[in-house]
Amino acid sequence: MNTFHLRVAGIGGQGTVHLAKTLAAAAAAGGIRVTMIERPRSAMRLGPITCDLCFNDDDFAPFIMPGDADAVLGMEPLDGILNAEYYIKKGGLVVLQSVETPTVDEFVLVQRDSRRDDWKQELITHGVRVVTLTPEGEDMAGRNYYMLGAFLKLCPQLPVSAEAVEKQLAGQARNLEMLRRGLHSEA
Amino acid sequence: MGTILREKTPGTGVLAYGYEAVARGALEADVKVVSGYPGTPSSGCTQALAAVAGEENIHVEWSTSERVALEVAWGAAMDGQRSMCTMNHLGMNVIMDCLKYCNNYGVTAGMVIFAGDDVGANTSAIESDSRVLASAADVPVLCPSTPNEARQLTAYAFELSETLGCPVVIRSVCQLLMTQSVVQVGERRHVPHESGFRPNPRRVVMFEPGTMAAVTIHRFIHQNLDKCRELLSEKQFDHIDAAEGPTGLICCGVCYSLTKAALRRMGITAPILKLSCINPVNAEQIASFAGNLETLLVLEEGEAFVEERVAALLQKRGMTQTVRGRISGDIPYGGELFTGDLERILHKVLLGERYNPADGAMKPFLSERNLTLCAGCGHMGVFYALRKAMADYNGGHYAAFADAGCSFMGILTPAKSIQSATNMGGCISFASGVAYTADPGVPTIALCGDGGFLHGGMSGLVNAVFNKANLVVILLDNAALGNTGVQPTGCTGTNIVGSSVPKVNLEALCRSVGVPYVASVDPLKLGETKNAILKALDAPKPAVLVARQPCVITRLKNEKKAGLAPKTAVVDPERCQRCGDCGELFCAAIIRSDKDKTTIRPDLCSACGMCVETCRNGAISVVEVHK
Repeated sequence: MNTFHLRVAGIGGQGTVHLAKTLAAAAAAGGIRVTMIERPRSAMRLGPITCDLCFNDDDFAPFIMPGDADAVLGMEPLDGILNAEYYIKKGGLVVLQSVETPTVDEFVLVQRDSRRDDWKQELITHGVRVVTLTPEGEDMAGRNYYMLGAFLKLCPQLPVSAEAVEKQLAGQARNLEMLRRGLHSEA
Repeated sequence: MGTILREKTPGTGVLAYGYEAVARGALEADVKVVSGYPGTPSSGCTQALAAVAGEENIHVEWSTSERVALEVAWGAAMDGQRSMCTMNHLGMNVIMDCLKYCNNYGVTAGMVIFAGDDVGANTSAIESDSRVLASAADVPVLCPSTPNEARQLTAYAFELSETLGCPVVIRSVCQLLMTQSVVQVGERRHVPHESGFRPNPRRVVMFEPGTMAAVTIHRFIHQNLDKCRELLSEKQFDHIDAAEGPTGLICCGVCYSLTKAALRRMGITAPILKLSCINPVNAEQIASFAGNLETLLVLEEGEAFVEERVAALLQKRGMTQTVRGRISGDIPYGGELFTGDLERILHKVLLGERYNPADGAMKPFLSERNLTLCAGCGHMGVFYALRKAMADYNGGHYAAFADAGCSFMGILTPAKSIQSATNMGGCISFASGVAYTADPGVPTIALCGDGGFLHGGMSGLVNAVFNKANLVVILLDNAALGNTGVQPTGCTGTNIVGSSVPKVNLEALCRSVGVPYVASVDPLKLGETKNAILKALDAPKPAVLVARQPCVITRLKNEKKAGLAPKTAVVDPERCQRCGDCGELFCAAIIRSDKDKTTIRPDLCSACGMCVETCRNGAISVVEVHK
């Protein structure tokens, strides 16, 4: 079976790890070999969080290598871009949530980070498909599952089906609803 | 959490974190007492066992420090019950005093110390290698290479400990412990043990006639390590992957798995000696592996621990192989070894080529977003009030120090409210040392969390009273170890298994040790906090101010559980003059702009109300969020 490497980049409080665990559980339930590593950070909200998911790898090497991610799912646009530029492979897929959360530097300097705007060319030159989405929903965690739903729709190469993810969300009504809204979005 | 711990059928594969695999191994070995202190990447193991403590009839606790945790586990093991003690690499530094005693006097039942090393200091202030510390106490160390092996080695470590009568350390790192993968569970064993304290009559009582003297015990411990080496070699956790080539790789712990992945990517092979038994190393096997090789490359996370031992044993045996690794300069000290690093090292050592595994990247990875306090954290209020109070007091001249919990965030940009941070609870005695020689016009202030205070700060406060230190101590009581995942402390009122327990009365405790001035304040009330700090500065010293406000993560969870309507602060654009006063809080929920009026993100705001108090124009209020 084909390998697939996905990096999910977000910020503390969004439920990035919860989302990655759901995907890993859906894969494992379907008999797909999977590793999911969360990059440990302090528990404070709004710090950087990344999770690497490796599907069908032969070895235990949970961190994705630079330039070796098939897809990057950015739950915050700047964090998504920084990760994409380093980890995405040529021809990969980057899905970014449009809602910006200022970095410490941005809210101290009261100035928008210019890297939020000057990234497109490199990625396009390398044949990377970039999709930016504005998710529905008021809460950070809900938007997360909307993004996952949209990502599942945009990335049929991911060896985990939407049905498998839905099964893992049984009993989580809000997350399931947002996932389905993402799946039926115009992404 | 806990699926892997509840799985009953041996051989079943369950998706689990590496730290859960360690917990499963302990359960399979019939552990009865588990004590630990939170710290990434080890915390999850204790929490996983706490989740099944009731149904498994095991005692699980967060102790007040790692040293206390080790003492608890040691006592249980001496009472005939298998025990485990958990901590991160920083905790290994804390337990060294007790560990030496523990290894000298021995254990009756199996006792395992699980040390999760945060190599790369992802959530820690410093790096440290638990293998070095365990070795300094002459304690055996096992390092798993996969989550499956983590389970197996942990279960075996109890047996080994019991056979040798000494503690055994399981050491692993973030790349293994923080990864979910499918782990095959093993069989649960029932290990019959009689309760009742049964000291080893020859080892446990110091200075008693007929007991071994300390020097004799020390020699015995080294004989014990020889015996350990024999037992481990029979188990064959270490093995050789044969291949052709003049250079052999000695891969320790998780580096074995990562190296195999790197070699596969490179499309080459090399002879590998996989080592999971790290202290003592199997000298015979290493010498045999070295055989006709020309070079040995040692790949390990942390210090050049195995590399030093390999070099020493080759020299002792008159073998001439070149040993490469950190000492030779091929691998840098510090930081984690990723598969890409290993590829670069292997290209250089095996192929003699330069290779940059980051070639695939479009741009170098730029700095990630910096950490900041959660919006609505009480510490934010203390830092704000401290800056304002000191500006009024003497124009802002002060020296303030925090410890290793969330309070260290005061050192970071943008608040810069404190100058330095120390080990857990160490800021009070550190500040005392500063205060003894400081300019009397420049107040010295220690900011210590409740976790840090109960960990190591109390003795520092007694010392400050005892020696009349001229300092103000602000105890940041958020009733949690926030930085490591909001675990309960003695100030929380509940413990790890959810039992209600009395809260430590910090004010009464401080008064009881002779602190001449003790006051308390709610740090979300900024004006009151500023005034309380000013009062403490003029009070008899050492003065203590308890700033009490639950961790905002706990508060939000409790509010949600209670069904309270979510609230947020909002800015009235008609009244906002863009003066920037609210920005001085450095709250991440407050969005300021050089063009537009200030706004507040309702999804980030915790409705603490601090910004309401900062606004001179009355533009901010707290309202319910309407969905």
